[in-house]
Amino acid sequence: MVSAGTLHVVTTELVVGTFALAGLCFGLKLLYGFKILSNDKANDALDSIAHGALLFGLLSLPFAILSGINSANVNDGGFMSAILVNKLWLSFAGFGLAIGVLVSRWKVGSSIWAETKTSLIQSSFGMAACGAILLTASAGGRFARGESLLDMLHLPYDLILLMPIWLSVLLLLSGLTNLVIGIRANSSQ
Amino acid sequence: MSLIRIKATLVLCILLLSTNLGAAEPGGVADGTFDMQCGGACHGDSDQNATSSASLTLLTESNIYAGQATTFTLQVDQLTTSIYEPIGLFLLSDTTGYRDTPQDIGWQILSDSNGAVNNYIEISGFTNGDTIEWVLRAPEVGNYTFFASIHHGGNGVPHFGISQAYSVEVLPIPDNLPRLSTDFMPVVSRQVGQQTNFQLLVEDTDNVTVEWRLDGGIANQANVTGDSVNGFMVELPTANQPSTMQWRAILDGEGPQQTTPWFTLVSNEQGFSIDTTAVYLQAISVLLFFAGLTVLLQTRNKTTSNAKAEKTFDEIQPPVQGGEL
Repeated sequence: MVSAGTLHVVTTELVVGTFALAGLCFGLKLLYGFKILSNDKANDALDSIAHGALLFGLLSLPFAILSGINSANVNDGGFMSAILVNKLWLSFAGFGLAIGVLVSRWKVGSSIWAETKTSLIQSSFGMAACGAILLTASAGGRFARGESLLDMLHLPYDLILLMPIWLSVLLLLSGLTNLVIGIRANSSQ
Repeated sequence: MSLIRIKATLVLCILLLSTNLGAAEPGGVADGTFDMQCGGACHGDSDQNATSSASLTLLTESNIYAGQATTFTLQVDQLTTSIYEPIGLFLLSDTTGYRDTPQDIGWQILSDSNGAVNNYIEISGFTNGDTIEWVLRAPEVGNYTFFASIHHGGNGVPHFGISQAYSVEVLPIPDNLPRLSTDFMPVVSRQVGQQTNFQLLVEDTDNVTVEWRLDGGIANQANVTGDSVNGFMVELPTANQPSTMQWRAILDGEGPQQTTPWFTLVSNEQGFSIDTTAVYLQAISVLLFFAGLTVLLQTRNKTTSNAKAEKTFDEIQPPVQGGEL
């Protein structure tokens, strides 16, 4: 039987690899948006690679989160470190951003790159999803090994901003409403 | 060969050459129950391992009664001064790297030096001659072999060392031997300021005396109440600061007097605690918020661009002249 820790290593490698590739492609797409790059062939390929990699990462992400929760024994003893809480929130933020980016691309189609504004939003949110996942991985390194590549940024992993329950519920409802409105509006056009 | 291929080859060469600049898990992997070499996950290529200069001596009783606890003391000597920290120390049942923990051959770890029940312990500030201990409960009658192993970094390569084999014979329990019950599990950690009370589960025992000491200091007697019929309750004093306490029980009965191993009880500062439900709820809220925000922003922009397009279409339509068609 493979332990949750080992499974977590495997799944996080999949997630980080795919999200990093997607982030790189979204970054290049951003350069196209600013007219810094102008190769049409590569531009089309970047669209497919970015969203394909993001989709694959998104499929692996739930397994990474669940195996992480199990390997840290959160179900038995609760969250024993602030880093674990921040890891969970960052991974869910990346999860949400990735879903939003993929749904937007699916509903709007390739015309999402036709305008500068939509192109910039798509690239930026794609990169933000990648950034959230890389920060999660960095926090994981800090938790497991006491150090990570992003330690030079002195990120406050030990600081937690826990919202009251009512605010979380409000945020959840507003997010759900936005998502439904967004999908319905895109479907009707 | 085209220029792009040369560039790609150069990049790959640089990446390959730079692989030995890193060291696997330099900050350690934390204590845990691991097979030798963590199952090969970190230092899978044995050609890249260096042999540790450390000398490992495992001390334990050669005979132990089935179901009873015994101490395994590991002494480490000949550590180099430039040793990488922390160092990792294993207690193992063989050296195959697969299912080789003491638990895999039926032994149960009751306490370790770090206030847990792991076969792998990481320690910083270890010097020559220092020791660590595990207290294990013996399984069924038979002969068992143990090894100790050390892992540490240094000079950019993982160092690895293993002790010679140590044999332990598990004997059947004599009649009327005063002993700990096989159901007894010692408390191994607590918070600073917390008093420790527990029932000492014993068999064939009429009287119990419990001694405690701090970091190998002078032994003091703990308060023990109760009797063999109602059970013995032990009260260990509160720790006012993070510290390591050890305690043992002296058991008297019809059979010869028995003394248990020193069990380790670590006192730590109060740990981190947070409402798990609130954490999960906030996580789901954050997920939906960002997903909704992204989709909604694209919708707004699309709606705006459609409106612009419609306006432009209206502008290019020539107005109908002459009233109704």
